[in-house]
Amino acid sequence: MLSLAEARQKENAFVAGEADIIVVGAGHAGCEAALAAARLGCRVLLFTMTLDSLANLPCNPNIGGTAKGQMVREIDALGGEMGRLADRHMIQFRMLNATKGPAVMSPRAQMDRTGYQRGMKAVLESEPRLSLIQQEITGLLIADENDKRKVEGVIAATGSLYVASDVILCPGTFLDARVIIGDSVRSSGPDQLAPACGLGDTLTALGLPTRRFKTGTPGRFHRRSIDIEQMELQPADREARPFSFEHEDDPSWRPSAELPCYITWTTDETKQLLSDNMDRSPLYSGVIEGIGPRYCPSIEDKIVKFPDHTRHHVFLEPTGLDTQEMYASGLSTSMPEEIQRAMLKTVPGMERAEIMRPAYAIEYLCVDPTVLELSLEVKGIEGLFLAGQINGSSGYEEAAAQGLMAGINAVHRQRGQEPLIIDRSEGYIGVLIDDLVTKGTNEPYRLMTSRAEYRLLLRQDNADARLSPIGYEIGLLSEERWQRFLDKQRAIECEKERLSAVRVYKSELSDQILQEAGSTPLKATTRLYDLLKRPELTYEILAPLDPERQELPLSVRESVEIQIRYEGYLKMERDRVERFKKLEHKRLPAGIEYERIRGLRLEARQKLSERRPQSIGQASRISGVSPADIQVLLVYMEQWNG
Amino acid sequence: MDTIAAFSTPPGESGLAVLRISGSLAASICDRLFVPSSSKFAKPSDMEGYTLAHGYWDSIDEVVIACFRAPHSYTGEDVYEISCHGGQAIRQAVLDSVLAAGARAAGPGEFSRRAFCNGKMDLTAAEAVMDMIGAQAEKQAQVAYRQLMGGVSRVIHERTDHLYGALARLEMLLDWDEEEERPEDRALLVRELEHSEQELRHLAESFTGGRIIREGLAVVIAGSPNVGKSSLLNALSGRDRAIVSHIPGTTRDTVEVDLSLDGYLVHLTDTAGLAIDSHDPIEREGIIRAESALRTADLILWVLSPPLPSEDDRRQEEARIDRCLMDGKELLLVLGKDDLRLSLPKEEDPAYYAAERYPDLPTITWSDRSEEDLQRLKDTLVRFIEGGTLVMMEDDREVTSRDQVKSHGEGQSHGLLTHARHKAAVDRAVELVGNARADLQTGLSFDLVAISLKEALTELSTITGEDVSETLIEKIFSRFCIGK
Ligand SMILES: Nc1nc2c(ncn2[C@@H]2O[C@H](COP(=O)(O)OP(=O)(O)OP(=O)(O)O)[C@@H](O)[C@H]2O)c(=O)[nH]1
Ligand SMILES: [Mg+2]
Repeated sequence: MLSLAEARQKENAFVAGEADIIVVGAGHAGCEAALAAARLGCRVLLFTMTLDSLANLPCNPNIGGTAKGQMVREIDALGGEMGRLADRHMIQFRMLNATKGPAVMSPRAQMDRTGYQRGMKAVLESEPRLSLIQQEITGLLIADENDKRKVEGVIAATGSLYVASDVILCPGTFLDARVIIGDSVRSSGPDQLAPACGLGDTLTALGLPTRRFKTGTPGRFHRRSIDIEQMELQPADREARPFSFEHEDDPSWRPSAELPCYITWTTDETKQLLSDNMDRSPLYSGVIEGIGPRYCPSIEDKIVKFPDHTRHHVFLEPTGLDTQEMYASGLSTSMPEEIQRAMLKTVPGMERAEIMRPAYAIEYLCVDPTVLELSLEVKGIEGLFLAGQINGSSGYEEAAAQGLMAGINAVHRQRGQEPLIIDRSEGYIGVLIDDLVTKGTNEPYRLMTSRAEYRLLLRQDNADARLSPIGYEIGLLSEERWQRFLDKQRAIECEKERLSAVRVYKSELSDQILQEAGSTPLKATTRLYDLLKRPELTYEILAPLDPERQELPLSVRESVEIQIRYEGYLKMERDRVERFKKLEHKRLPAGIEYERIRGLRLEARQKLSERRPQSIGQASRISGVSPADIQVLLVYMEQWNG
Repeated sequence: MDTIAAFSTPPGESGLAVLRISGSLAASICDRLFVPSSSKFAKPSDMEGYTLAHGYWDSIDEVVIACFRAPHSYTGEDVYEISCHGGQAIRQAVLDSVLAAGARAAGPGEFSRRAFCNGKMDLTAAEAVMDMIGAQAEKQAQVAYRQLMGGVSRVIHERTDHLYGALARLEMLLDWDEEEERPEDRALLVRELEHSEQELRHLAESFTGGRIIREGLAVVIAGSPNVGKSSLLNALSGRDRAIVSHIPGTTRDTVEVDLSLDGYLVHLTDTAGLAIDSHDPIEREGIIRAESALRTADLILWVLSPPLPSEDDRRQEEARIDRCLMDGKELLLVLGKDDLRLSLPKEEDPAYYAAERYPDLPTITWSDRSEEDLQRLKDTLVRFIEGGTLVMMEDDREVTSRDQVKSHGEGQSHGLLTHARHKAAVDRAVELVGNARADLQTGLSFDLVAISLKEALTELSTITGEDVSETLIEKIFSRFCIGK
């Protein structure tokens, strides 16, 4: 590995650029990282292999979903870009799980794919301190003095050098990528884009543990060849809602379109066909070595693992306003084209489907994320950050969240500020990064609401209350956004106060309203606040009993209702968070020598010296560290502090 | 800081044992459980400085309590030490009572850690404390391992399968289903929760803990005349308590003897051989007494020895055994006079007969000539007291007792294990699952129902040491076809 000084000595050495921060890769992670760093005042170089394909959505053409939707709102609350842009290019909105409780209500929107890409390009281009450069990066400049390694810049495929004290790598699924369709295996990134070669070797040379993960995508089909008559219609929600708090309650905001999806099912024939040809699947023939995600199995996987299921859902989703391509969610496969075509004939409504892009599996190199600090900086290499799928995650949203945090933390690092760590009780961003860094992952990691211990607190409606104060404090949120936020919080508090003052008297009207809602009539005068706690009643239903009520924005009504209705549960959850925070705040000093702490079990010594957790809380989540080891650490810490 | 309790004397049989309680609740716990023997003595919370008091503990034992007021104690907190008698049963009962009153079983080295943190130890002591925590954890790990192999952990695993199933379904609906709730989702979940609630209830009930440990285990030896019942009683008690002779019908009345096995109290009863058509009025009275003893048994040792009775007699004997089983009795078949069995043909061997006729009953081979057999039988009885399982030692295969629901086990506890802690965890899980079920029925949203269920599994995981989140995700992916 060359240092900057060594690289400069070479013949024809050329330093082509210099900046505070370099971001490699302009996918969802890279774009957020570059924007955050630039907006915080740093000069940023953002490299991409091609300017025509940044912020691509190479798989599912939607943003959000369970847990992910909450996280897009969090990204927005901190001052990230994804939510705002998604609002501008959504062509269908659905609030998933609307009836299953506030903790799991999750916004999701179909995107106009190329619109989103163009939109991101425009945002990047208009960012003053950010330069967008088409250039493949193949190496890193690393100074290695007295066993302290420090990043100094990058080397492009052309040999040009770019200098910066912090480098954020966001190569997505492009590192040494192979695309597999049947027995055709080609070196390629998604969407026929060139793979990134060279950087993978650099990572290996740095001693970072790498492995190969696999994921896949279904085919795209021409809209005119899909017989929607044979399918079930899945319309957009009647009321679309924006991801961004900036667009919340803005009457001028509207999605660009409200296109439906269509649902069909695979049949017995599909199952038969795939079973008969299983030997042709590269997954089972051993061509694919990478580990695929359990939550996103290919259709042949589903048939092997769930032989009792006679049919599987297929969703046909629009992919944009300027295209006829339809995405067939549920038909992801790595079968050869011949089988793919035969399979379509077995799916009602897709018998004559014209393949525009065949389904494929993709294998790529990624890094074991346990080598990272919670700031996403690589342990032991100052200034080198990793974000996105290189860390073993999957999904655009997971990538964007990591990019945002890496961008912020690279800035903090070079300014000598504390890293910004969102903990597991503050946001899905915290759950995601802590899971990756502390526990590691054996498959492409997808965020789920069940991974969050404090799910009821991590809601989509309160992402701003949780994170906007942080976004404002670090300087990513504009003054205007901050004022809007304060106004909204004030409105929520006012309305809660008002509701606890308004009394409802027993009357014919109240009896009637309550009975119609399936509730019991009042026995005594009751506060509206308390009535709202009855599960069968809503703010809406109680309107006739609340004549003084002012028309309030949806976002305020929603928060008020949830905060009152779930008051008891929220309090319990907050008590649990208190306990959690105590251990989280017990920091473990950086120089601690676990090998020499008596009383620690051998496995714990190894794991702790390897992972170097930042707090007692984080240590307790490392597998192989027992409660007794934590007791030992607590005594040790007393000694340290004493 | 919560209040912790543990024995400070080493496990095993000893004259006296000292239970140490430390923390803010220590005084009130003692107030609740301690009755001073002299009326002029005030209640424990009024004790000052370092004082002693004599009295009774929760009608379990006569004890002496010592009070060390904060900060003048080992830990720097209020500490009460209870000196009770050292038998296993008493130790267990005293500890159970303290835990039930609100203390928590101390973790490894926890007293020392508190002492250290409260400035009662200097820095050089810290390393010793850490060593001690490490060593104790190692020992606990061994105990935990034994539990995992033999007992409670495995049973809890089995018993929580439905609960995991229900929560996995719920989480699948929350994370992957994406559609709105369907009425049948709720109905199915309610059914699954009813099932798991029932399972956990059985589990909670299966903790015999209290009564048998306090009152002793009632073991009744029964079988045909001359099979070696009285010899068995004598061997177990280590005394020539009952008359033994080669003449069938030697024992006429029931013979009782109390003995202590590993500190546990056992009431052993020998009975008259159950002769079939006895016309002897004394013998018949003996049989009536034997039958009434059987009805009060916690465990029956039914002895089968060569030569096998005639076919008619065997049928009568089978009817008697079946009746005991129907009454819900735990029964261990003792294949007696094992030394004689070797030379027997298959048809005359009680072991073959037992395997054929009672394949589900646990058996143990026994000869009054073998020290080893005696130890094995004693181990089996202790195992039964501690865990409620009868273990077949012949081929190292573990056979849980006939009634699966009743079976559970804790392995050897040796004072480290806190029976009451497990019971409390299961009780709490039952309550939480019950709440979740009721919440579902009143229409509460799924996300809230999931909170109680996860908490229930977290309670149980304190026994099994399972990572709830990981296990759950595993179950979701293995049970449901996820992903579009
Ligand atoms: N070989 C052998 N003989 C035994 C064993 N146990 C008992 N015996 C003999 O069997 C005979 C009967 O023993 P008991 O213990 O009196 O039998 P029991 O079942 O109490 O008989 P009743 O009281 O008459 O019903 C005695 O001669 C014992 O010495 C054994 O394990 N092996
Ligand atoms: Mg006898």
